[in-house]
Amino acid sequence: MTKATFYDHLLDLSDLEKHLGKDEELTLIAKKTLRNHALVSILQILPKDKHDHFLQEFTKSPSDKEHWIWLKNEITEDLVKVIKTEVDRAKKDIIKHL
Amino acid sequence: MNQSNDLLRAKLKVRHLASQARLNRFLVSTAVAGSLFFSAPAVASVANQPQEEIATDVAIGPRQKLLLDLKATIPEKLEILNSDLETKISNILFEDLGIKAYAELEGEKLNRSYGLIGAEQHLQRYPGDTIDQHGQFLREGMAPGKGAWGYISNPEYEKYYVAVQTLYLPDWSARLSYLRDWYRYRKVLVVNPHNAKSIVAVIGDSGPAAWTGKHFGGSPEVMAYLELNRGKQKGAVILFFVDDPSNKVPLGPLESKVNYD
Repeated sequence: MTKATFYDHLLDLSDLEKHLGKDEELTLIAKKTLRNHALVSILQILPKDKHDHFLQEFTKSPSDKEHWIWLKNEITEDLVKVIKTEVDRAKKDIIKHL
Repeated sequence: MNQSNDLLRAKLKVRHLASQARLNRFLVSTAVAGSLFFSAPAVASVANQPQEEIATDVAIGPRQKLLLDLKATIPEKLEILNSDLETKISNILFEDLGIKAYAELEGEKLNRSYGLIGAEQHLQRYPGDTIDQHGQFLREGMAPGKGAWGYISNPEYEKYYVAVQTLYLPDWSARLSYLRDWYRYRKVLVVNPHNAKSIVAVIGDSGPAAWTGKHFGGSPEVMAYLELNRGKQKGAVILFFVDDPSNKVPLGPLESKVNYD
């Protein structure tokens, strides 16, 4: 995923930079990886019958903050917390494998 | 940083591929999967294809002889070939295709010469390269970041490239500087033993990761020619180094006998 997403502000890469340095390409690959994981965490808690609609809208405009509003109506869990937890887990996994 | 950027990039790409695979499991069941912009190989087409390897077309003429020779020689099970068998296959390839191709060349050898090849994506040729500038097979997408050797600036190399698991060579780290140069754009012959389609390519990237169960990767063009760009988008191939110091063997599909003169 190369475009910015509405949840990019939750992808804190500072702890990865210790391992990756300031290399822009490495940072970009790490960011794309975390974006994938964050999206998986959303899909895991979003009801399956809502996946098509969400992905259609998300594809049209991945950085649109309106997705938060729509998702909050469909999901009972604390979405920010879910994404942050998954991103933290994914970062640890990346660091473990470097 | 204690590690080279090349090694870090390779390790990060493995994690990225793992995240894509995880995401793909959700996307294959959605109607919009094919229109998404993830750098994952043709998600929708995988979902819509039968999962068995699709039968290949009927070989004719010289290909038929190669097909019969390979069927009589190569084990059905995808196993590591012993050196006797590899020599036999080299002899067959020379006899049927006129090409000098070997599992071991100049003392260098991959861990596998017979294994599973899987679909790879297009590689970046220069900064700012985008998928819409690659002509064919746009659905396959573009790999994130550069290939193992950096930007693959020769468009012919990008078109006909394979990825091999240099990262898992037992002496890769110890002989890194020599091996990196030796493998970079090394010419190889890739043969689908199920239809005898053969193509000459260069080693343009490192991979795939061991956990995928695959041993080689092929560019969209390579996979299409071998007729492995369907179903599970993978299949068994023979991958041998081409001995071609004078650069007489052109890249691309091998439709007639090689002439070294």
